[in-house]
Amino acid sequence: MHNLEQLEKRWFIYKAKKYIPIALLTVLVTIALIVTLLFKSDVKKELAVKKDNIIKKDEPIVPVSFVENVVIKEKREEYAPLVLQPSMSFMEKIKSSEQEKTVPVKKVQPVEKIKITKAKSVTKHTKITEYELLTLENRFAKSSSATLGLFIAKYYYKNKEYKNSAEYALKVNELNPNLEESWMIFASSLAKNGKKDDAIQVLKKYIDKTHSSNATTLLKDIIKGKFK
Amino acid sequence: MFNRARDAFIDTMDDTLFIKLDKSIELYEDLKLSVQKPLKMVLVYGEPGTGKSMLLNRLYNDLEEQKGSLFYPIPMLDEDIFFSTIAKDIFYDKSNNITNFSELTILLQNSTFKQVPIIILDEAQLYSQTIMEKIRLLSDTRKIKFIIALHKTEKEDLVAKEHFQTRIWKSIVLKNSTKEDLKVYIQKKLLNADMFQVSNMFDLKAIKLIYKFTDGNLRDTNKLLYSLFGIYEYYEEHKPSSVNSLTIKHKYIEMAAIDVGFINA
Repeated sequence: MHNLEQLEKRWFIYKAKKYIPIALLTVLVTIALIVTLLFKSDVKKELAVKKDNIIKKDEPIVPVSFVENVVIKEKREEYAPLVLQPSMSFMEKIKSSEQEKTVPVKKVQPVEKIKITKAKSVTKHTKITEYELLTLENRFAKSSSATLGLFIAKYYYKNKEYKNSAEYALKVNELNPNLEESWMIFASSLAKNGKKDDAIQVLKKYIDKTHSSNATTLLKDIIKGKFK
Repeated sequence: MFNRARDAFIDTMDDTLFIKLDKSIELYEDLKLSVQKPLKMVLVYGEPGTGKSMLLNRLYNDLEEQKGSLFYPIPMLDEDIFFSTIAKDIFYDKSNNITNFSELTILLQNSTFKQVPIIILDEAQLYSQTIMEKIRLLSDTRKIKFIIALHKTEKEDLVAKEHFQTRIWKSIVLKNSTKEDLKVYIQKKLLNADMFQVSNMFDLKAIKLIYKFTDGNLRDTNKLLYSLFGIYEYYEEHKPSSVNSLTIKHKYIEMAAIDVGFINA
């Protein structure tokens, strides 16, 4: 064994040749795994953010387009500046009289019952189903969103359910006194419900504060008996 | 210490160093039995380094005690020399005038033997086709018997030819050793050389590594271990601290494999 040192060098070269490809492969696989994991976690986060924006987990499922519209309106409502604060003392009387006469709103109604009593009338006038309406009422009860309340009040008004429309419009006026449309629905509902004097009183108070031309026109129509 | 271990793996034909492995014992007993049975030819073949020569050498030494066997480990390529040598070895003084195949055939046909001469030919793949055909004709006299050992080469095809095949009484195929046999082979070689401590250094992992390089071929194993113990001898002399006398270093086995050319590094 004269060339043992050279033989040892050849052995080192052999080992290097043997293990370098394995080491490189291991590094590449590790990098690929890390990149894959990072990419997956990013995608999951994005999906989670999108889901949060669209719908809350505990809420029942409603059509996406509908929910998006409502959410957008709610967001606008949150940022609206509070300008007008009318005296609500006269409203207390109306509210109490309304509560005595009207049946309290059913927050959760059995679906089957709604189907039997209201299904046909609702589908005639709007695209909203009873289930969606029930969902909206529940959401309004939880969120106290003025926009959502106004939507429900308008829905009832269109369907000639004036007690319900007056009730929701009143709630909206309490939540946000600056919504003219809500005041108009409230006065109109009262008038339609035979409470003409109350409607006139409400409109006069509102006109004093806002000088609204729409409210003035409505007031004149009610007084002259043109509003039917 | 390691120089004696190294010498134990010098490739030799000494039948006293014949290592009894499960495989070799079985094949040897098979060969001995076939020799005792009726005539013609016995074929022993296998890849180089599977132990054919050692097996034949041991058989020859066992048969020699009974007198009447001839072993030709190196082929005689000249035809006349081949047949005159065989005649001389079989008939002693009677064969002075025999110089070719025809004379030998006539002499054989006119002779009777108490014990049939057995002619053992190693490396028979080196004989010419003509000599092989004449060997076949000699075996047809039924006066002598041939044991022919050859590598797995084209010659094997010749032997396998139909007219030749009918004269082959038995074929014995030698294959490379298994891992278990290889372990026994290495340990017995070392024990025969009184290298008990070195013998214990070979664990199963070391045997597996050696098997990986030699594929169980005994000649390749001898080469590898000869080189391995050369490396050990060097380190024992120049760097004694690097020599662990408890186990064989895999590094040294790989270095030996590089040295003998089993690894291209």
